Amino acid sequence: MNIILNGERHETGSRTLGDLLREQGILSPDGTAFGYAFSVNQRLVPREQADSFELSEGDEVDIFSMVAGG
Amino acid sequence: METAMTSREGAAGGSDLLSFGGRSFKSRLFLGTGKFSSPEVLREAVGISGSELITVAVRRTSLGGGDSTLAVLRELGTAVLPNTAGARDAREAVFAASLAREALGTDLIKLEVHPDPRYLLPDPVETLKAAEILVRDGFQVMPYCQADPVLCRRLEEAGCCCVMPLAAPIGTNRGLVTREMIAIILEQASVPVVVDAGLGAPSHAAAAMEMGAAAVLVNTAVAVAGDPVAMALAFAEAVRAGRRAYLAGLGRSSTRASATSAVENFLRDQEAGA
Repeated sequence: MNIILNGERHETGSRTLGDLLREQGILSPDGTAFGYAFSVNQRLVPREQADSFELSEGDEVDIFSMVAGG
Repeated sequence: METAMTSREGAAGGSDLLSFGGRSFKSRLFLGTGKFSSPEVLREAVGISGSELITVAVRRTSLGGGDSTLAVLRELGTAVLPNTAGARDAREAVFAASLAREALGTDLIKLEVHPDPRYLLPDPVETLKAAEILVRDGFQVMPYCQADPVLCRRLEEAGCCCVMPLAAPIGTNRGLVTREMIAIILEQASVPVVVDAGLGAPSHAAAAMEMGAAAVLVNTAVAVAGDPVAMALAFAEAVRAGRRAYLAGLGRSSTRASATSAVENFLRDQEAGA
């Protein structure tokens, strides 16, 4: 299916947000994602809901992390 | 002598903890992480400064190439203060704060709403609106704001755990341009006042601390210095000196001279003896 990932078109075989995060190498080996947050269609999806959160064609998925800043 | 110094350290420095938002800090210098030339320089600068609260920003991640700031801070063991920089209104700030809490598991948030990129001045209306929402949602809100005593009161009434009035626009290194207003804010506030933005030299930070600021937040002045590590230490020393001077109680200033040596008596004695 095609989704928008961080503002760009992205083709993925992932059915859930959790799978997409694994596909992108975001999750730690223990499955956690310290330092990251996720939204689908501008709504925050907590890490613990990512594995059951089913993606749909055209979803806008954003992955956020911490960067340098004052 | 060593013992006397140590006891004075204890009275005015060592036990002088700053507490707000459910946390306590020994260092009253908070640092930002922007504009450093490398993660190594950032690591050294934060390490030497002794700062225990360090800011980061939230952004869409660049897939395939990460920012190492958070890793550096975890290694150093400092508390991380996420900010909402980039938010143009209350709605965006609340969203950024929620992302930061989810990512870091912290309820501390430095609230920044500055829609104007030229001066990066905080929008007082949207900042207050966002503060009210975030406090209700359980955040410990540290609002970056205009040095406006009325606004600072309103932010305090909204439940913010401190206020962060600006000394000068972000990154300008111009010092305590808002000094008179900061003095009123310090007089009125019952939450800690953290002077943020525009402090360009250690003397500026010392001056803010001498006035009674609880802490200062510095970024650009350290990051763009010729030697950022040495400058981080210089700021840390200035903040300690300023704090100690505040606790010691500054002498009154006056427009008239007041002799510190008995010069006139000495001259009269000379004449009498001649």
